[in-house]
Amino acid sequence: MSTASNFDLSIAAWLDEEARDGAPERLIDATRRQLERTNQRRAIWPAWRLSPMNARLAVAAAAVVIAAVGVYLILPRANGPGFQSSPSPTLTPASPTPTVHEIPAGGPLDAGRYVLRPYMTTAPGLEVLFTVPDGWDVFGNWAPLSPKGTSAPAGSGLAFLSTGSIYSDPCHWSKDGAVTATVGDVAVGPTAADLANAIHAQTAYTSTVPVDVTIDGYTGKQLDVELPSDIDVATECDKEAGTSEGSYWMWTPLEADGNNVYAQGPGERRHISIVDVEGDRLILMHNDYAGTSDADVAAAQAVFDSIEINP
Amino acid sequence: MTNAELVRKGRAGDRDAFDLVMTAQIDHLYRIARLILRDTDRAEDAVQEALVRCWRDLRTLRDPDRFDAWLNRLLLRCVTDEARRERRHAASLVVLNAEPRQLDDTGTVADRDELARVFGRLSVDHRTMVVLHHYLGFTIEEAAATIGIPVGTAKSRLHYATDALRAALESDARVTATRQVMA
Repeated sequence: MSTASNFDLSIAAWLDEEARDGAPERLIDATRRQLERTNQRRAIWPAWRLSPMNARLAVAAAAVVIAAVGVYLILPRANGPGFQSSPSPTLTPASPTPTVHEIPAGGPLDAGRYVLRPYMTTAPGLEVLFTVPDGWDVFGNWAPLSPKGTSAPAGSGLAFLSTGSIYSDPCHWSKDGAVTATVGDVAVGPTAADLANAIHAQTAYTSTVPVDVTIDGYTGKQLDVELPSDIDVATECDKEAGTSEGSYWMWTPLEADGNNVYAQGPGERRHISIVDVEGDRLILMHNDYAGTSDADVAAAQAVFDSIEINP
Repeated sequence: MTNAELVRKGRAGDRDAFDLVMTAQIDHLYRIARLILRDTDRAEDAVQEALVRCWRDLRTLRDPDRFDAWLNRLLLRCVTDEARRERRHAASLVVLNAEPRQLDDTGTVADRDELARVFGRLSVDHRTMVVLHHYLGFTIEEAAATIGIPVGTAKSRLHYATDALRAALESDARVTATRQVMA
């Protein structure tokens, strides 16, 4: 037997010895208690939900504008087409660096700065930081939502996504009887430009010509997409397993069980920035509609502009 | 009932079925977390968080036959998250198996102490690779896929960690030999 094999066996035996003890009863009990208080997320793939407008949120929406302007003035921003001009270099934050909170697993967010990790397996260490005003929410632990949710006719929100392939027909994505949207029929290359160009080449929706963009120092491409408004997605599009209504998928996630977002409503406008982050292609998207107010658009843009990326 | 059947029931919202899945997996998860984190309290936190995320997101798992791999990924992500956090319970830190034990085929007590010391000094990323490869028996490719890193990175991490551990054993062997000569 070789020295290397002896060494491997020694390490394996030592680890076995170290790992003799099983989970203590208190851990099992505590986990059971926590599970009793936890509900499962909705079936199939996570998707943005509709957050109903109410009186509190109506007030919060107004506050969003004020808070967003404040946030916009003091935070570093992304650059690129469609973004407002950079602040004066003489402007500096009036207070120390804000505390960064771990994004919770769904639910309302207090105003503040948050960190989330959009990829479970392909880049688990990649972090996205951003600042939200009061009244915002988060779906799962990866999609910040405005107080009005992300659905038509007036919602807005953000999502951080990945993909390796897209659909030429996002309404009829099911091939060979597939009941989950797992692989698009249009393969795309690995770069931000590859994906942006592939999206722009599709005719199922309209899109702007991709242009260069820089987000927190990472370069890539930006384009705006407008999804069709003349399709009844619920009745006309392919259905996921276990669902009674159809779904419209632009692309598939790169990771198995990764984050993905189906069309949130007719005429949805997706502002898509794609950047290469040290070998990982990160999709940063925020959405709105023709009916989204200027104030809400500005608020979502301010959240987007506050993004910081840590590979 | 098989594990896959229990997972399917759990995915459909059956809490009793998931409880059986949880109790069947928790020892395995705890051992991995404890090996990597070297801290019982933090290992418990990571395992609990992984199982809660598992239940919460179980409906997003499209293939129940891939449950084990999926749960391993969830755990490793929670372990990484836990490692990032500032140590909250410094007093709870334990040096695993620091107490003398009977000698066996794995080597001398001194060997084990030295291994524990060097292993504890490795980064969480390196310890994770060692545990996946040497404890769970994953190939480098399987470990890379589980962690979500390139195979080359996985090889590099394992190589570094293995060198460190081998050096620890060899160093201890030299000390022992020197003592024997001096005696």
